[in-house]
Amino acid sequence: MKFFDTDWNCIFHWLAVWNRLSVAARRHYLLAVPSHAATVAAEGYGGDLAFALQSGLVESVSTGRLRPTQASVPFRALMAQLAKFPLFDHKPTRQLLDEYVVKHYIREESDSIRSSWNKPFWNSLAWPRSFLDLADVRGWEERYLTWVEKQGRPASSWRWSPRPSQPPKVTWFPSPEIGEAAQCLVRRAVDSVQPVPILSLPDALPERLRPGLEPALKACLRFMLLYPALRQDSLEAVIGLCPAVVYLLNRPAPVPPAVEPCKDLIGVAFRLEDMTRVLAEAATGECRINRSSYGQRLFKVIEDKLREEFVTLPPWLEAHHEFGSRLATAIGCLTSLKLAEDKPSSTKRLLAATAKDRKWLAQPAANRLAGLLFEIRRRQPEKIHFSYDPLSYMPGQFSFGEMKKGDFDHHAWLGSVWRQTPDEGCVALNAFLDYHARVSHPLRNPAIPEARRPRFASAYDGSERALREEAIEEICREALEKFFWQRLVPLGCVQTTLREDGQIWFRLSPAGKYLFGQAAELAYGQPAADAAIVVQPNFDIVFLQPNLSAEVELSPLAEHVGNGVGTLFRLSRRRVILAASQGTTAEAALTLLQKYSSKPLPANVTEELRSWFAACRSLVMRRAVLIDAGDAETALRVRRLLGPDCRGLGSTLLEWPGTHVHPKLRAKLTEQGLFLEKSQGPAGSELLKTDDPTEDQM
Amino acid sequence: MNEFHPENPLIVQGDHTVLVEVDSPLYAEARDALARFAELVKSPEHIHTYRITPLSIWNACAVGDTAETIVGALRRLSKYPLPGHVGASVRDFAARYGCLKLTRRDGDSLVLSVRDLPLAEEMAHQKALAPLLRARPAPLEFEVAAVERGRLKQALIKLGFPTEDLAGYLAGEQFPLALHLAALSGRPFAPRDYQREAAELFHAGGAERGGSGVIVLPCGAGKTIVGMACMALVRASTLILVTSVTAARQWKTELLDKTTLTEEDIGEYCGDNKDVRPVTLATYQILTHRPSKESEFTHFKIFDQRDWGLIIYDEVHLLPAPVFQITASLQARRRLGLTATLVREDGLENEVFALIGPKKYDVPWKEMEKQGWIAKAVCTEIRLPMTEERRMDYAVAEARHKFRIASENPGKLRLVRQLLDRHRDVPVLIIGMYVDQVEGFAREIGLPLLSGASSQAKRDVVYGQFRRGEIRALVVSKIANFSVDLPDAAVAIQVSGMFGSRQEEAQRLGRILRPKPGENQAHFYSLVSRDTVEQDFALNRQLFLCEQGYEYRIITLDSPDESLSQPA
Repeated sequence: MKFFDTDWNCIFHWLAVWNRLSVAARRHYLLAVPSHAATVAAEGYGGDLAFALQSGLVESVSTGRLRPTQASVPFRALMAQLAKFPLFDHKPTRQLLDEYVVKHYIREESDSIRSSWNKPFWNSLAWPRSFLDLADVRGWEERYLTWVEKQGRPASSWRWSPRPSQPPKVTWFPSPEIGEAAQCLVRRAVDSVQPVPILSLPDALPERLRPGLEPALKACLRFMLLYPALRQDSLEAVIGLCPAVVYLLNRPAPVPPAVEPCKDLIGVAFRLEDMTRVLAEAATGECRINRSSYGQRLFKVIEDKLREEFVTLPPWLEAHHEFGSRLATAIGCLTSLKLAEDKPSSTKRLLAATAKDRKWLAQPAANRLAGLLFEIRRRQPEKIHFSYDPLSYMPGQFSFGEMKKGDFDHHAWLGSVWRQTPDEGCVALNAFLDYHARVSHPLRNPAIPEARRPRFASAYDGSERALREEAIEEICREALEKFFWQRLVPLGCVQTTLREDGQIWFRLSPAGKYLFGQAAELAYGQPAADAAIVVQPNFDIVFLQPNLSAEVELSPLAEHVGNGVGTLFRLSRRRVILAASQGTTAEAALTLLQKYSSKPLPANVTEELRSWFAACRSLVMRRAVLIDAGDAETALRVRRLLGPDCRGLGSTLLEWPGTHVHPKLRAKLTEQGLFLEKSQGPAGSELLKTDDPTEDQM
Repeated sequence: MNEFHPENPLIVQGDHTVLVEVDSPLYAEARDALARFAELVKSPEHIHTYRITPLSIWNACAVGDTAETIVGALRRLSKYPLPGHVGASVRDFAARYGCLKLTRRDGDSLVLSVRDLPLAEEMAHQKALAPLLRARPAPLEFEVAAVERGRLKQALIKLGFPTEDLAGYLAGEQFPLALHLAALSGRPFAPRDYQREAAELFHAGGAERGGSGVIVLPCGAGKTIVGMACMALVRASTLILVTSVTAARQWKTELLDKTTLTEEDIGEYCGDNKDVRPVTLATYQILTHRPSKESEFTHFKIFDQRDWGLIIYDEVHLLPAPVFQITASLQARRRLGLTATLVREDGLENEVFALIGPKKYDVPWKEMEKQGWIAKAVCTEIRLPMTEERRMDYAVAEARHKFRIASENPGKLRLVRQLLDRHRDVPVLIIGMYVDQVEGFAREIGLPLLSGASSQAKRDVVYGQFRRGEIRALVVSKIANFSVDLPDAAVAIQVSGMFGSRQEEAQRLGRILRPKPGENQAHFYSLVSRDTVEQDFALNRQLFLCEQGYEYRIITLDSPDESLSQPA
């Protein structure tokens, strides 16, 4: 049953009775409302039993129990609906509002309404204000219904202009008085802010407009200007503006988040660590990318290996940073910084380290992190973020980015918010975000000069429309939260912990202070040890201390068998041969090992490495023409005629460099009775290939 | 990694291996701590590797350690914070100790007692245990046939649950024997400290937690003495399983020399003899002999012919599969395994631990060398090229023939002569895998040869001559890999080996590790053909010894005719 289809005159009658019942009696009545056949025990009405019977609200049945009377059917139905939608007792959820709309509107209209909650319509103060501001209520109605009708039609790609508006078939404002009465009702709700008792509505109208109360009320309900509900505690029937608006207008003032000490804080810059691990893998020369992937998906075996090597995050961080996105982001950062590149070839596609990577890796971890933060700081916001830039300051689209006037500095805005974290102690993340979404959002932030504030927030599609004020806080909170999870956390700019109440608490780390300009220098990680490894006689390379440079430089030479410290590599013939193929020499390899080793290299390792390198041979491939002379004498004659460039490979086989024998030389041979003919050689022989443009010249 | 203690010697890795920096000032403390709850895996020069396994934790718990003391020791001595799951694993392993106990009820049956009902239910539902558990007289108890004792423990270990075997041992036929205070030759004799320690650890004062286990000592360290010391502690009839008749004779000689046993007390169950006496020596070969594949192993009856109080498995790493099976039913007897190299290419080391018993004692080879109990060994690999003609043969040969072509490089003969000349004053052993090759060497150089075809009588004669110094050099095939007592062989020249067998390499080195007078120096040469698969296999062979701390010097000759120009 829809509220705006109800006989409100009847309702007002019964509400007068309802008002005289005690809360207990009201609650008892509600037990029977779900079904006409439902009955309740008479005792439940307590002292109100007689009144309830006398008023005709309830009647006895044969069993001695009571049920609502037939006359009170509309009232009973309304109570049933009101009981389902407790609109004003808690912060209304989107789901509750959606259910309300689905219940009261036909499908096309409810779909349109629900899809437009984020636009400046019914769930904002602007909506009832727009109704009050207009003198022509009928025109207002017409525009609304036209909009609904337009929204309800399937979109046509051929017609962008709206169809001509049609007069509504049925108007909810059959007379100006009803429109005026409706405006009075709405004005009453706007002025009181809090929901008012439904029974008080007649008092909102001047005497002359009271006859139009019922149709006016229906119209207000029909056009989502007013919403009825039952208070949960008193079961009083009230009516007010959109619950979301009522909530926002009545919520308490923002309170700064509490600061408390926390322990077990974690603040690893795992983006840096992930980049480092991926780069170390890229430096092996065998980091293969799936050729068929659009992006840069690595081979599964490599991904599995990196999964083991990536820093393990606690559950509350891992929920926001699963492995796949971490890997993709690390690769994106490396390629963006030109530390690694996608190197395709005819047979494979590699993620390869560039020449910059060694210099980068040779730096202490603190310097690398500082460099990364600097790179992020210097990135400017872009107009529309359709592509994902892992190094942008603001991750994703910044909905406050579209300006008409002024030049909003979102770096400064974010910094002004996050610098408000306390120096000592931690704050709860949700409390921090809720608070700053209200007090620090860009349209209102007092720290931002008015001339530089955004004028509006843009919608997802980039169009420049002003959003309702209530939505702006949500957008602001979302932006802050996204910045927290996608920039501060992975860059180690905050230290977090999960407390027993399930809340995440945090504080800025030294890296965070550096990012926001509160610290000139940054301390992070351990300095790399010079002599960090021991090469064992069994070819193991043991890292006694972490040394990233050593790890990267040694990875081409040895199989990676471990992580962190301990036995990380094992020298192997396979890797040495691979290194040799890329130009490494035995002496260079031994020098490299000795550079990082704290002990002399074992003699057998030295000897074996030299032996492996020495077993490699460089082969030279060149194109040539083979001439089979058939016998030694002919071969000699041909050689004399062709000159010193013609080389004997055997007694009868000759080699002529290049891809063909010049026609003049052929003629010379022909003159002597030596005819050069093309061989019918085995299939696939180079000489028979037709892709050689000079072949005919043979 | 915020807590870094560079002075600490340990690095605990996520796979439960522990690296120990030998040069750390706290090395000795770390080594002693680790010996209680971790197994030594490798001990090359600078970094030793231990592994924490469920079995090693259980053994530690058996002697009173707790998870907290173990984790505490790791934390205290580690350079870095422990990987989180290592501590949890240690606690988990330790928590399983004592969950299951095997005790003896009346008669022939045992009882498996479980600590709690959920575990009991889990045991009841394990398919692998179903055929072994007879009845369930109580919610936390299962009846087990005594004959299934070994198989039950094996199955439970595979499921990840150690069983505290308190079912005790059959005392066996009492047979008092003692060690002499002097050998028959008159020289004073006493077990060395580590030998006595190993025997006492095995025996554990006669308690149920002792009486079964494996003792790992380097070649030449006197495992036979350890065996005899265990016999003296157990004082019961003993069955000793050995690898060959020669080894049996060797044991007999030692028993007669160093214990109160007489000839009548010792029987040989091998070859033509089938004597079963209070102390009986049998070969694995005879035990696993059967007329056909379908027949039974007729000589297994030896296990029932006497009420054995102790069974000793010499060179236990060679335990053949059928003997595994019979050992599973011998769990009521005390069992001692002896070996220098518990490395099996088939990976069945865990079976040895499950059926014989856990490793009770292990000393790094280099440790023994430092203390002078075994000779210092210099290992040298000499790489010589093949002639061009032979290289062509090698290049065109099928893969399975390449190894032999490389191994039988004729150039090795010249090198052997040079080495014999260099070490003319000390006894030398030349060992090869291919009979044709070793026969050629013996013939060309004029040395006696012992191979599989040599009769036992000839072997005894030649070994005796070699031992007495009447023969300075001896050529042997792979029969000499094990249990040949050549106390004065100071040089071994390996001219060919069994592909990449690490065990063989170690055993061959072991032939020359007995302590020597004077500098106590031994030399081990391995001749390989350069740039061939033989060289690749040689690298693998050396791994075990490298991991025991031995370093190989490598001499590479550039031409087939090049001589050794520097002292090896």
